[in-house]
Amino acid sequence: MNELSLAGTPLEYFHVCAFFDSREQEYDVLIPFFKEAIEQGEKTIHIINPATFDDHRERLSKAGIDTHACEACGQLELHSWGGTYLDECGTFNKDRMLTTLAQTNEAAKKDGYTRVRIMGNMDWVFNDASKAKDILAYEAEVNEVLSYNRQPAICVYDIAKLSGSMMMDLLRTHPLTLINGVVQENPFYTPASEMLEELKHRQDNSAGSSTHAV
Amino acid sequence: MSDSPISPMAVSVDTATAEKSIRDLMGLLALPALWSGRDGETVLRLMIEAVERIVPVRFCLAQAVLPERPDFCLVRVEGNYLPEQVLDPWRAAAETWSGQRVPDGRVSEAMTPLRHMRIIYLSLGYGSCGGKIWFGSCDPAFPQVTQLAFLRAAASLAATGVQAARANHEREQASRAKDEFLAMLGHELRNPLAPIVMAIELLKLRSKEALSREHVIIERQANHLSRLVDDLLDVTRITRGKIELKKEPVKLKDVLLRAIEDTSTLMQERQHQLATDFPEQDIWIQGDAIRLAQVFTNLLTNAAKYTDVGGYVTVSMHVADTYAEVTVRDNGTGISPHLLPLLFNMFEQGAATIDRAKGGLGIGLALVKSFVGLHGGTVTAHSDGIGCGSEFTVRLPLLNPATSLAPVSIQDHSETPGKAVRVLIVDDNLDALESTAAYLQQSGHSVETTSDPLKVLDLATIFKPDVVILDIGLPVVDGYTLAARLREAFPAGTLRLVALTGYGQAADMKKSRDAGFDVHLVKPVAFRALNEAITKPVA
Repeated sequence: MNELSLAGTPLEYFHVCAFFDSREQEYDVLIPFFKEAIEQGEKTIHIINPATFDDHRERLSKAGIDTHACEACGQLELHSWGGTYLDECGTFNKDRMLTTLAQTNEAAKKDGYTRVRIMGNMDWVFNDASKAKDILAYEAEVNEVLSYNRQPAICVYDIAKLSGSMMMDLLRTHPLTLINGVVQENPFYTPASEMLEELKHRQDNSAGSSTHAV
Repeated sequence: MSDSPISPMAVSVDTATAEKSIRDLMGLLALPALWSGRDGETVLRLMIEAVERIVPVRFCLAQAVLPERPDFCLVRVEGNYLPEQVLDPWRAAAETWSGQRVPDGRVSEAMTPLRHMRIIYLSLGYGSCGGKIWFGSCDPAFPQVTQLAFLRAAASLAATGVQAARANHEREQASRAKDEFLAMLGHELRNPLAPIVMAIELLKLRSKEALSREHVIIERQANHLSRLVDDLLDVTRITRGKIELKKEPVKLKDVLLRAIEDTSTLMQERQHQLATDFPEQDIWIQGDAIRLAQVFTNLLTNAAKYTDVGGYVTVSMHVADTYAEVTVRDNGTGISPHLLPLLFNMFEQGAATIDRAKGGLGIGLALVKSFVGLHGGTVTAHSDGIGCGSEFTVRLPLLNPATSLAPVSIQDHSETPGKAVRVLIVDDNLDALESTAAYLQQSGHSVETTSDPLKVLDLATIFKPDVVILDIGLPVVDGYTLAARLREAFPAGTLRLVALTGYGQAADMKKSRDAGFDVHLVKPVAFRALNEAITKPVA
């Protein structure tokens, strides 16, 4: 099997939560991960803000990735948030995204790729919180899909946009974290079933307190 | 109020709970990554929000001595921060709890603005940098021993975070004070420089023969000092993010010719041969012609200075993809490999820089990098080592061909003497006052002067000037106020007001305009510019 490493560390788990202070730090750490995939002939999918497509391509090219050729042959795919994380109404659809991931993996296998690496920029979560309600449930559930398919995925979060509670939740839903350029197996990781139960409990409590408030 | 101490040793915790608690604590340890570079309030907010995810608390109240906010108070109740206007009852409650002198980490029953609750107090440090935090819950079992451990760890981390934020704030303040001092120093240096430069100009005007050797030295050194002051001011503007570019379509060749002209004296003194390689077609970019000329003047000056007498300097320009590339190459002393990576750093070059080796502030290349960067371009340096010459390449994005091109002339060097006018000059710097007056008299204008701003209105009424040149930083009544008073005293269109000041930012110019000035000049001002300011029609 091909190498699979991030920030100089071999990966044994497949769902990584990466926190970055700046885009420079982000690309500094992720470019080797992207290059490793390209050099090993793996499929690479980047789901990013459509406004940053050109900048993203330029950064990859500057790092020595033949972006044009990789996109032309289908080895590299850039997707925007709309159509992947977000539906036509701009709302996050957990089940649709989980299905898309599974289908992507199947399609890549059919095309002869040994592995699919996914990087998702998660800034959309902070644009409209009401449309990203299921994100934590998704982050909990996607572990199974990624583990089953042995499909590495990095969820990229901007540290400046996180609240303390959001960070704690994200830490609980990812078995691997990348903070300050260091990859760590996350001892705080909470199994999906337990996390989903807690989220449901929170939702019930919230509904209950709203009713009482009225 | 009753205390019920929790003794960790007396409470047994099952393995599953212990493991979960360790996992929670490990998660908490990731939290400081979030507050790197944040202020004390943000650190406390992030900590409180994180705690809520692990420990079911009803409220949290944090008090801390933050920079410029000695009575900072933050209250979060059931997941929401309370606005400042409803905090008084909480502040009063906190005062009562503090008076009870319950030990750190000890649970107590206490009345809160919500209801009776179990609360726990934890210290965020003591004294002038200290703070306190209380967590409260209605749960009769609050806090379990593992929850208490978590709260202690969170408070301890937050205390460190708040202290780091304070240190950061103090460092930034010191840095800002330094920047402001440098900016002020630059402006103050301009004041004595202005009369020196003017006096030399005046000597040149009056003398029918060439200047004496001593005068030439004074002129050269005064000009050098002016450039250093300009560089110093540019540095302070860059560090404070106050550089303003006036971007227009610019023909790059004109910029390069201007830079070559500006450095021609130095090139001749050093007996260098300068060669150019420019393409026939014009290359246009969107840029600030003055700043770009400064970039290439800096590079050419370095090439001239760091090449032995009788050397070769070439300037070439060509188009590469969507960029214009300008290369300044010399066969001079070259750059050692260890210096190359530091070359463009501001302030970090130390004694090892090429600038330091030959005097100067060591900031010329840092300015080059900043100005080029502000144009969306890059500058790179290459040298095969000491004695192998140097090569600097500036890449600037080409102007979009769709943009309409309106040629920008960099500077009009022609002398256009205007008609004689009556000029009143007001400046509390007597040397500047005398030299400006002497020059304008020499040019045929009628001149009256005063260094006392309180006499300006009376003097203007008697003298009836066409133009009043006002220093801005005057004692008792500043130039802005005087301008407004003069505007009130004289009918519209009868008086031209010229501000002559050390402050030249866009904001300063706007302030001058708002005060009624027609023209804003920055010291030291060239005679030609002064002449134009008082005689040419106002734009």
